[in-house]
Amino acid sequence: MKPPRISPLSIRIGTAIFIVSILGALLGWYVYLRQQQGAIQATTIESGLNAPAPSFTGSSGSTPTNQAQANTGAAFAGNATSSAVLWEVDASPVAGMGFVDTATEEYLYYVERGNGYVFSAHPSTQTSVRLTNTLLPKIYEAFFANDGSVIERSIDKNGNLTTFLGTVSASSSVTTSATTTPLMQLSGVYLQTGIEHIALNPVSKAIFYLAPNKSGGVDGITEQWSGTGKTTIFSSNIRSWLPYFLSDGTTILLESPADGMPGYAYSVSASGALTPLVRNVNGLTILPKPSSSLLVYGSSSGNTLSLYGATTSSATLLPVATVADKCVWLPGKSEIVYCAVPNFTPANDFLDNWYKGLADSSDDWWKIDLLTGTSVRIYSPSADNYSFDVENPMIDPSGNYISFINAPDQSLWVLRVTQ
Amino acid sequence: MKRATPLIVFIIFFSPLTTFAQSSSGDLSGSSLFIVLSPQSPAPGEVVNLTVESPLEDLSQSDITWYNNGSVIGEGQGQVTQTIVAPEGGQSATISVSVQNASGAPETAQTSIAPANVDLLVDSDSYAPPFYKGRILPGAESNIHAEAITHFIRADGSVIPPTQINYTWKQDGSVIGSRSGVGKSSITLPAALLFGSTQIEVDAASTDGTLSGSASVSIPTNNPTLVLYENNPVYGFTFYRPIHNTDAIPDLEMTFAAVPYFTTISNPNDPTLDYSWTVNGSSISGSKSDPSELTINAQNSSGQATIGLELYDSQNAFTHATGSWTVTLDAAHANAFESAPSASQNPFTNTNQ
Repeated sequence: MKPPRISPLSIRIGTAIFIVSILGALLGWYVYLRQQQGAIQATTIESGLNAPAPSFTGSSGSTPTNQAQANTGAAFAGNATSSAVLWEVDASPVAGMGFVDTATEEYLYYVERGNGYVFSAHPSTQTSVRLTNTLLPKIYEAFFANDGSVIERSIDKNGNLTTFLGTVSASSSVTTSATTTPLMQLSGVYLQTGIEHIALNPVSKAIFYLAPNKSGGVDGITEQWSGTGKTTIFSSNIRSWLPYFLSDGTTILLESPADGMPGYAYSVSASGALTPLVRNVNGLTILPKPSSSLLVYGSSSGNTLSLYGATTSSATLLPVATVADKCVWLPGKSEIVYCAVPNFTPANDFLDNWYKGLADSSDDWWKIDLLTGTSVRIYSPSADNYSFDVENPMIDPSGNYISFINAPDQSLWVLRVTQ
Repeated sequence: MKRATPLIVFIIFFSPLTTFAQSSSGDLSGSSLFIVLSPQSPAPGEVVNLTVESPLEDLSQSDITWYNNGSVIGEGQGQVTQTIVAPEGGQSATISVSVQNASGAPETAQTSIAPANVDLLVDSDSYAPPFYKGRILPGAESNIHAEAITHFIRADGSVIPPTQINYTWKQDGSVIGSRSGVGKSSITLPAALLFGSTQIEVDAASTDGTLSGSASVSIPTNNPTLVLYENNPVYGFTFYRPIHNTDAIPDLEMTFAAVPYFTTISNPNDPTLDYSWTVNGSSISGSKSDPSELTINAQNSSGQATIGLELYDSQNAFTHATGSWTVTLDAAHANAFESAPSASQNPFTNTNQ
């Protein structure tokens, strides 16, 4: 049987159709790529603010002049309708802070990002002094225990993450001409490199950290401050986890949040058993309350933020829309939580973009009582022509002061709240 | 055609039985009734829809009574559906249904619900910078890491460990037999192509057959996101504040660092990446040691600089990202401002090492 003959004209027509199809596909791909480029540029434009960029010739850094300005701070009364007072503790970028107990009063310790120096701020008198003289440049994260011990995290010249456990050493104080306060050394040890995330129990000073394992995931390791008792309590094939270490000794793992993606949070026992705290919530963020079954958790999906107050058996939608990262529990047995709440509807994928620094919010401070179901706005920075994108809020043990970092410039602030 | 006949007969003969077995969760002995659960493997506290069906009888005119652990929870003529809330982990519910036809003896069916949680967690091996707190999402040609966390609690309160659970993994509906099995609670899979998504499912069943559950998640493959930060000599990478369009930069010199989120690299200076930098339209080379970084100096100049960047990955055709940022370097604030150059000149000096 002979195969059918194909005429030369058919071949030419077929070839022409094929070439036109290829050209059409290439044109479509080109148009599509142009749209993608436009979208990237549009994202960049949308995320822009007119605030000045960080500067190493401006008012930041720890030059003596800058330090004097920063430590003086800028205190001002809140707006007329508020019962709050705000204090700018340090205009320089800050890596982290924590309230520290002393025999008589409470102090806010913090670490400047540029030099790793530890400072002590006194909220009631609005004064701040530098404590240490040990230079640790480019500190990205800092965590404090209640006794003033500090973890400082950085990146070494090879790109490895470093973790330094330091204590302020009074026996090695150094007096400099730049200040009348005797400066002390920060002495300590480095943990293994590559620790992705770490949490510190502020009371016991035990640490809980996540280190890469051979499977491409992470191991969850607990260790005492002294370096003893190192135990791997958890291993996972995924590496997107955030650890929490509460003052009551509870260790918690949160699957790192992603807008619109289900997230899970678990308490982790010493043997590594995982007990679900929150399951299957899109864009999950959490704020557990120590020595309590109470939990605040947030959901982020599309352009919708939701906040819930939960116990082990039920959850209630709260009347403010924010992420749990912007909230802090009032200490004690009350069920009051303070939250910084964006005063506008965020754009899509707020959480993902916020973690990248691409999205900012302008927050008001709210006080929410889960027991009575009441909520009240306690401070609107816009009334004083300020705008804050709050991150890493902390509250002092007496519940009088909330410290927070303003995300766009990492400056440190204290808000006085009235009970 | 002759070869196909036995196969067709086989399918016709067995297919009703196969379908029946998949949809039934009831006790079929001596009864034509069976109870269908939806979802088939409910989690604790989850709402469960129950439906009684019969392949032989029309139940719409029958008197139907539903029981949960012996207590009546619903009844009525033709009430073939009922809703309950699944008990907590470690507890079980015995569901039974009685159907009374006008012409015959009552028939019953029974099933039990022992709920179990299966959580399905996912991320990827793509790149995100240090200290990033968000989920590391997959980009094109990256791998998805998935992990099933089960909470299987027996009636006596004991927990069934993952080593006694059989996991069946599916990607886009297809069982991945080679990665499934007892104790295989995690899996690594290739992500979908760019702009696609991957559906991952896992069925988990205890080896003693007492508990089972399932979970699924759809994971979109993300565009590579190119974000420009400053690598500040004092503060390091300013991950908290990317370079924005229209930024005013009160400095003489600045090092820009590109961070390609969710690409298949180990670090931004991966040798497979090709960074093409431009400043005001002129090509300019990035740092030799760190090609993801560009340092420009605005001495003797002031004005707008449009920084362009195009990124390719020689090992991954889908990694292609572009970005453009217009910034104003204001040397006056650095006390080093001199005369501004003409518009035709590129006022910026590349000081990359």
